[in-house]
Amino acid sequence: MFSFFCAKPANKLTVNGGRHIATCEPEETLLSAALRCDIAISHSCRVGSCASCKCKLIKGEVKELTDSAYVLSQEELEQGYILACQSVPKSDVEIDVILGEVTAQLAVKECSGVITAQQKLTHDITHLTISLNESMNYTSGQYAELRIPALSSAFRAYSFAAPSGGNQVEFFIREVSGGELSPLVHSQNLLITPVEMHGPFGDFYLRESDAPIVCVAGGSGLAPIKALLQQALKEGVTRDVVFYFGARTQQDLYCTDTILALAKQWQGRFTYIPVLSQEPDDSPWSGQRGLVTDALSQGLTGAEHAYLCGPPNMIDAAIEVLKTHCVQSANIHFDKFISKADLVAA
Amino acid sequence: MFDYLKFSSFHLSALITIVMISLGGWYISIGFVVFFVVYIGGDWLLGDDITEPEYKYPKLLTWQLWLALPLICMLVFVSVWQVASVDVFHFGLTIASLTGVDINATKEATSIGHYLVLASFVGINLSILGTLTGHELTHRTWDPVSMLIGRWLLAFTFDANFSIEHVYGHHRYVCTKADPATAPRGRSVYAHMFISTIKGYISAWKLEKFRLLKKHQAVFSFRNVAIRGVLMSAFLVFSVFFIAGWEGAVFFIVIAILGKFNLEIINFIEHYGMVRHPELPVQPRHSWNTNKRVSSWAMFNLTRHSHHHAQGEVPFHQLKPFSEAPMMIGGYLTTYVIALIPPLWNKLMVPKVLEWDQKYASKEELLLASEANKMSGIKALENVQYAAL
Repeated sequence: MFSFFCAKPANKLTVNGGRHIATCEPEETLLSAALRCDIAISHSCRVGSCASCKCKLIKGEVKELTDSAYVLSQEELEQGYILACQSVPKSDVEIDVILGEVTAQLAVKECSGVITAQQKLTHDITHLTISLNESMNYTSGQYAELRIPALSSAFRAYSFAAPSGGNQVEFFIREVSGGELSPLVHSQNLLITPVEMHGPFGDFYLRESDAPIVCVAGGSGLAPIKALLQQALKEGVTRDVVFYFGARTQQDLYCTDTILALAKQWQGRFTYIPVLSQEPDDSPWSGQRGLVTDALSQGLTGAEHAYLCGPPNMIDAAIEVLKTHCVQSANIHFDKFISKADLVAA
Repeated sequence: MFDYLKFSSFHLSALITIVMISLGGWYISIGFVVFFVVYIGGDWLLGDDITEPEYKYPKLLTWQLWLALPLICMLVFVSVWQVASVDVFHFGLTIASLTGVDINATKEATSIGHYLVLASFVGINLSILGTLTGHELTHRTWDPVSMLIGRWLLAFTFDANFSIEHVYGHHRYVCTKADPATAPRGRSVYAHMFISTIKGYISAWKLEKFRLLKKHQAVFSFRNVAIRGVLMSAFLVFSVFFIAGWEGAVFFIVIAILGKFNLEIINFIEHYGMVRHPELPVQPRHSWNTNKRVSSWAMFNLTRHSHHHAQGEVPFHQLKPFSEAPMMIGGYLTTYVIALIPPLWNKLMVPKVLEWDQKYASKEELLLASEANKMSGIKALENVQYAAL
């Protein structure tokens, strides 16, 4: 009854099915909250006039600060589009929005295809190759949303694991225990199974610069980093690279040959450093042990541009390390792999 | 305390103006001259205000803006009283009995020349007291009281629909060809007054029409904010006619139009010659900024225009000075006067615009700048073309 006197609670903003999460302070607009949390919703005027920040309200309720009918089309209004810069959440909300600068140029497509190869990379990561019925243009580092109707009605987001090239796309899918899709991908034979796909999405891609690159990947976060570096190789990038890959034990390492081959062809310096956190002390492993973020903290100069991909805890820790070594926030790019389980826990 | 009071300088100047106009005759001209001397001289002598105070009671600042409404009513009242053939509401008699100053006598002696000064003086005061406050308030689309007061303030310069065009048109298209209020290189301020006024009115009507169509609502109805805006100004004209006769009504129409033109002069100096690629976000570089102290106080940080356009939702007291942004020639009134003298304007602004190209323009914008130079009709600009990058 006296809720009027209480401070209003912060609301949670979920973007693109949980790829990004932000907290909206009371009275804060979705756009401000997203930008504060480094979610690059494209925007321009910020007063509800340009519609650059339009997004689709999937769940929850918002208060509109201006009448969005001034700028959105009739179809958009009917489909539930809102303006991020003019919407203050009244509850936890979920939106779908196209992120980043590059995606603005690449049209998001809905297409279908079939699985043409399925290979186990480790005990919990499966490599899927999909042949689409049309070509898919994306920038390495971006992701698509995938659905396998025969297994589940759920769309899940996965990063492309190889550079864009015609009709064939690849993904690394890590088994999330209790997940709706990934355990089935892991356990069933899916050859020739039809797939539906939306994409590309995301603002994780290699920015133009001459600065040295430092990459940190964990688990299936290897996929976008590998794709991004492979594309850079094709484009003749000669920047120095240090690539940290965090895993638990030796059996969690994969694609090692591919990465070593990439390092060999790379025109600048390329150092690949796998770091194992739970490798038994008596094993013959001669590489680095411990947390990948501890390894990262050695040898940073602050001039690096960082690309991080993997589980949220690893990324948060890595950002912390990078910032203490004076790497500027603007030069830290990341893609947090958030599963439904993380969302429940959050 | 002073951080609040400094934004009341426009109240003070409005009160002094009201007194000077009431006194009539030479007092009007003296007031007019002092007004310019204080604003131009103050900006010249007192330098910049780049402070960013924290405000514990922002609501007080909003009340300060709302207070503009009774002040503008008083200002218009004394102005039309001064030209009316009758002593409206026995204002002159009342003042005489209260103070012993027979302002009815000085009113009789006020000549046509003074009326001309009066019109200019009220015109410029209307734009500060009405348009600029109305601008700040109608940006607050989430606050119905501010919207209502803001639109009435704007109605005094026949511009309630500025609340539509400015927010949904100008802020969207600023520095592109689609924006009525951005003056392209080479345009004179006198042409801009008419072009921007007419195009702005049309734009507001179209924006409102399409909003209603999309919501399946009738265009010609009371839901139409643009029609309501026109009716608000019509109501004011009729009210003035009712209390001060046709002389009063005609004079009110004249000062309202002058007030509107003053706004267009301000639009002119705020974005003159700048270009923006329509697909690039609005950045601080897309406005001429100034942090001159007296202007910033009198116009409650409208001067911090670079931040205002980059983040239109930020209320005035939180605007940052952005010292690195492109800078206007001087304070607002200084730049305003220079704009009214086109040869002087061109002499001072051509180098500034070219410097803007070099220092601020993106690759895409350099191409747009080349085109703008070619079309400008100013020799010194026509000769400057940037190679495609």
